[in-house]
Amino acid sequence: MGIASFATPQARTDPPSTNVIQVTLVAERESIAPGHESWVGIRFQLAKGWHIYWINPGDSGDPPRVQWRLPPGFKAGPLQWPHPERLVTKYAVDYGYADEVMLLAPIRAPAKLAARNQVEFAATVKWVVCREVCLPGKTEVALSLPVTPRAASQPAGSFEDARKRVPERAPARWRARALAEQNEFVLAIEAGEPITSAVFFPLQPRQIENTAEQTASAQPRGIELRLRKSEQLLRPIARLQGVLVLPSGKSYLIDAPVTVAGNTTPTEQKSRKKS
Amino acid sequence: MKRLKRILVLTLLLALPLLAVRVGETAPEFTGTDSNGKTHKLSDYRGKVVVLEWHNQGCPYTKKHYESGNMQSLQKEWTAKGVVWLSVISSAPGAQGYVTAAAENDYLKRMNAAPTAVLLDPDGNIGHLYAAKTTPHMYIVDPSGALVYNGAIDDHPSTDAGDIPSSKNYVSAALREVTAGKKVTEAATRPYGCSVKYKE
Repeated sequence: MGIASFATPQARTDPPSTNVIQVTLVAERESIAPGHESWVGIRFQLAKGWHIYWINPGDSGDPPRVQWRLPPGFKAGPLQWPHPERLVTKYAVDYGYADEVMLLAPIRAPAKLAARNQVEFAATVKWVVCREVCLPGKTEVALSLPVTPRAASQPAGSFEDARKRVPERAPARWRARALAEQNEFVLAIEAGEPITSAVFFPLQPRQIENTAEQTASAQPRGIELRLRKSEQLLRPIARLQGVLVLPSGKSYLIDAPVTVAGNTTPTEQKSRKKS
Repeated sequence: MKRLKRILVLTLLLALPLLAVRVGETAPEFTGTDSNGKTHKLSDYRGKVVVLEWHNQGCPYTKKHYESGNMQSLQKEWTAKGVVWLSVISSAPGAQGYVTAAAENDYLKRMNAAPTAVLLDPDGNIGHLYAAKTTPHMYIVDPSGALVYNGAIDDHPSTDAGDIPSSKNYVSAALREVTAGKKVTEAATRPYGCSVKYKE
């Protein structure tokens, strides 16, 4: 299962998916303490040209799935997905990851841990990895950690890099609004300062056309993005939610109430109106 | 002014493919040749319900529905009720999923598949007309020629045949409604599968 053994995929013979993808479970700290939260990562390393998918995979594909098997009393929190990139081919745009990505999850230990030396975390991971062809795959990953009375210190390293790619909540001063025109959504982000460019990744499929170019225009106090509506969007939507990725690599969760062009009231009453 | 005109032309060009495949509008007319050399026009089937199924026999998402027999049983059930079922293969020569007519006929026999016909679309003309994105990607055209469904086969975007029994099959649901003369409740869903291997 070494990375050096990557097979060249042939159109008609399905290479085993493990030749093009390597999945490992890693822990951020060297030990776990009762009642403490510890972060683990599911790391995917991909051979050149291959990719896996984000929560909203775009035009094709399917995100990886993780099923935890933890000792009694341990609880895994929701997976944290780093922001994806646009994987562009001539007729399709997917949202996903090439080269390497790590999905993060917090695992909380029970307050009382029976005396034992080690705990084992395991998971079944399923994925679809694609290049010209798509290969489904599945593996079991596991790691064991010593139990210590106090939490181990948090080391810097690969988790920090992965964490930097996970979208943050947008700063409280930001205002996001979307105007629904006939064929486009105009997503306006007011950030208090100009944003030169950005890419928007919708959380929900079938809201915007993935293949359409996103036209970004910098504003004195933020940015405006024109997003073509999806062919498959048959009903008006109340909110446009997604991830905004800035040139710095920082990314933010966006939740924009949608107003129909020509209407002064937002389609959802709760939404804040800024003059 | 000249610039404005250019922008207008560009906008129109960009907007053209948009008009193609909206549910509720007329399904784009096409002519295709099947794996037995027979020509099919969509308008030949006016008065009938037509299913279009984008197909790629090597794609794991397509395999899920063929190796389990799910797709074949849908084909048998609905063609027996007078529905026309056209599978479409838009893989380009040299691309994954491309098949010759003879190879496709072998496959149909081996898999016990029962579409009305399989259209070979190596240039991707029909695929682009419908903006077919994945295999499978399913469309339903009603007897008046209007597109009434565009999307996935079911609600479990996976390659695991074990998911089929607990899945809601959108195509069955839509066919039940359209053959009863009712409006399709869930008319557009996100298609899931491999990307269509079009000619570059």
